[in-house]
Amino acid sequence: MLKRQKEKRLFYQVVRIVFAFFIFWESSFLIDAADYQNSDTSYQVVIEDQANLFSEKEKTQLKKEMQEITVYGNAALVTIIQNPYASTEQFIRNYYMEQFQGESGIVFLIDMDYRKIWIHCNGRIYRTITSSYADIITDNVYSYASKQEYYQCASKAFSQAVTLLRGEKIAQPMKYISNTFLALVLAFLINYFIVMMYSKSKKPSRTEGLMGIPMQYKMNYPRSQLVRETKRYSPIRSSGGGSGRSSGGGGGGGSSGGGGGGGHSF
Amino acid sequence: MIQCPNCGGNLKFSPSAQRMSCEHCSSQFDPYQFDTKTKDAEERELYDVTVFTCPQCGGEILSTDQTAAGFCSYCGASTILYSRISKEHRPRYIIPFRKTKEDCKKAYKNLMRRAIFAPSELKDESCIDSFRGIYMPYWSYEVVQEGSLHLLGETESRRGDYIITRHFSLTGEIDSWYDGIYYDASSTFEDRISEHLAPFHVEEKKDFCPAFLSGFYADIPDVSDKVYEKDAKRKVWEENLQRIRRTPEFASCAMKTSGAGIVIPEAKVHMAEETMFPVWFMSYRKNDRVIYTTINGQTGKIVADLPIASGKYIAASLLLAIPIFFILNWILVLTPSALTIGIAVLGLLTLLIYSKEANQIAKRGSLKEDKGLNWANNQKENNQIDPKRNKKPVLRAASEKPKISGYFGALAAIAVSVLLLIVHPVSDLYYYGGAILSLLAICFTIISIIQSYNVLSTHRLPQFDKQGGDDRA
Repeated sequence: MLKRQKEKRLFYQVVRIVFAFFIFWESSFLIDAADYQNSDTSYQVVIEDQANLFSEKEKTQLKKEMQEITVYGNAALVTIIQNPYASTEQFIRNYYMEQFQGESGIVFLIDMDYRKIWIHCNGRIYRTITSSYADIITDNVYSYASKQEYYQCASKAFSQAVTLLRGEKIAQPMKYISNTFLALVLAFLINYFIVMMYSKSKKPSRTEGLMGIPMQYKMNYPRSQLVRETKRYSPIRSSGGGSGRSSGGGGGGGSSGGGGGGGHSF
Repeated sequence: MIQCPNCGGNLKFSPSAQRMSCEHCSSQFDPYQFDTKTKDAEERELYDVTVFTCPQCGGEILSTDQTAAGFCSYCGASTILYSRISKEHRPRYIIPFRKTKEDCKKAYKNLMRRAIFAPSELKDESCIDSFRGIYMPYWSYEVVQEGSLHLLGETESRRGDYIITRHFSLTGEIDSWYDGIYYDASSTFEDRISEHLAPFHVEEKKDFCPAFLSGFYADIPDVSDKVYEKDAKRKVWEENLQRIRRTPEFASCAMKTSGAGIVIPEAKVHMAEETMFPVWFMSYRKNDRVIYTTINGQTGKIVADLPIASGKYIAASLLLAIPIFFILNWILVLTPSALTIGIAVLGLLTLLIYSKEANQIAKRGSLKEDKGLNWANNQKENNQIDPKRNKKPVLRAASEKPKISGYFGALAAIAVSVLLLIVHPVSDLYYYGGAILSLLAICFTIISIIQSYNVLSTHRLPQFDKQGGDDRA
């Protein structure tokens, strides 16, 4: 019974890997056929609409809008209908590594499987569009995806990314609303501690309490005599090195690369 | 009333001059000049005073003056106090007032300037003017701890892969003496307040003489000196132990003070003397609660648990939220789900604070911590009051319980947050709606904490087991 379950799990694992390979093979193919390449910077625009969410006209329009990003890095718009990974973030990280490796870039993903939109950035773009900004942008545009206005969703996302890359500001309602609530709760709590600090009378220490009391203290003939000595084995642990068993640790998730991003359900 | 030998005016003890001073001709006299002791041994133990009784709460204070201000220091009621002439037991010592009413008003005003959350009524001039100098009865213990001491000590050091423990025998002859470890002897004077008023400089005590009471009042002792004997001994041992640890011969050792082979000489109370300590006392009555502010009449140290005006607290919190908001914007971007987690954590913190505050109320409300009051109530219940010494009416213990509803706010905030995290809705609006609900719920709990604190910082109207006490209060 247990053996069967193991076999079943192994089978699904193999299917997933094959599926992932297929997707990346397909995306690798698309790299070769980049939708646009900036002649000055060599950065590319890639649109990969596996979920068929955009019309040809919309794709052309989006490609135009994304071209401005190629001044700063690569730009990709990806839609998927099935996600072989455990999360949207995992997929987009792997996709990014396959597509752009360590180069500067931004990928906007509409994951129809997990119903999530996600932005992942790296390099120069990531220095501007940080994970926090990725959260803000996806929060600003998720409602379009909820209404199935995918073109609007992607267009607004890239337009806000361009605005940030130009050094301009974007609306951040999520940040302000969340911080307002948090600030209010924190203010009530911090103020409570301040009030308590100043309102409660403090008990004097024992020594303070004994001040002003006539007293006399003498310790006559103090003597400290060694009675016996005991010893306990307690080996010193070295902080460096480590045993051979643990040496294989670290280095996991090598394909995840750097950068970061953020997303939102829709 | 003590009359001025020069003009017949009223002589009062002047804290600034430390002498009796005439209100009319400004002549000054030594207080002991007016001490009229009789030869009769029993009479020598007593002195004549006027006992003032509050018709509302039944509380009693005494003075050598026949005129009393028209308010009660226990319940804060503005009323004419009944008076009767009585003979009271004469205390052994007195620490005369050093701080004048003006000093005391100044200290109070300074405190109120900083107390921005205190109710405005407490800053009223009429309230500040109601300070009354009362000599509070204390037991002053002479405690001695002397004899051979044997403690055990240990030091630890490392030698390679081994920890070497060296065991020492620490011996010596301890010789210590403390004259004046004090505890209040009045069941109506909360132990907590008297502890906070410390220190008093006992070395300035003087032999008691009724003239010191002129212009002031005195509370009546009703707690036996046996009640605090153990506390006095423990305090002496703790102080001695701290000094023993600092003895150069023992300083390098970690000391063991209990276990086999350890010998500690017993601390012994040689004498307990009744001593009057000077305390400026203000009682402000607000609805069915009384706020007490006390000032050490010798050092000027002020002790007040000031209640918090909820309106001021909310307004200040809203103001404080503004800089916090800007700081958060500078450092933090929270997604709605992260906000929900943050609010759940803060809700939990609020719940813990409320629980701690509720425990304190229950503990203080049960009055178990007030040894003097407990003892007096037990004596009363068992009819063991000595009619000669304890004529004073006993304060009826009444328990205070925190409101259970305070828990609901924080619990609701946590529940809403957890529910949102489980359901994980798509729209931010659900999270913001949840955050509004949680915010209101947390505010409800914090306001409940403030109200609980106000219960802790104020007192129920005192009720003494004497006719005249207002049972409705």
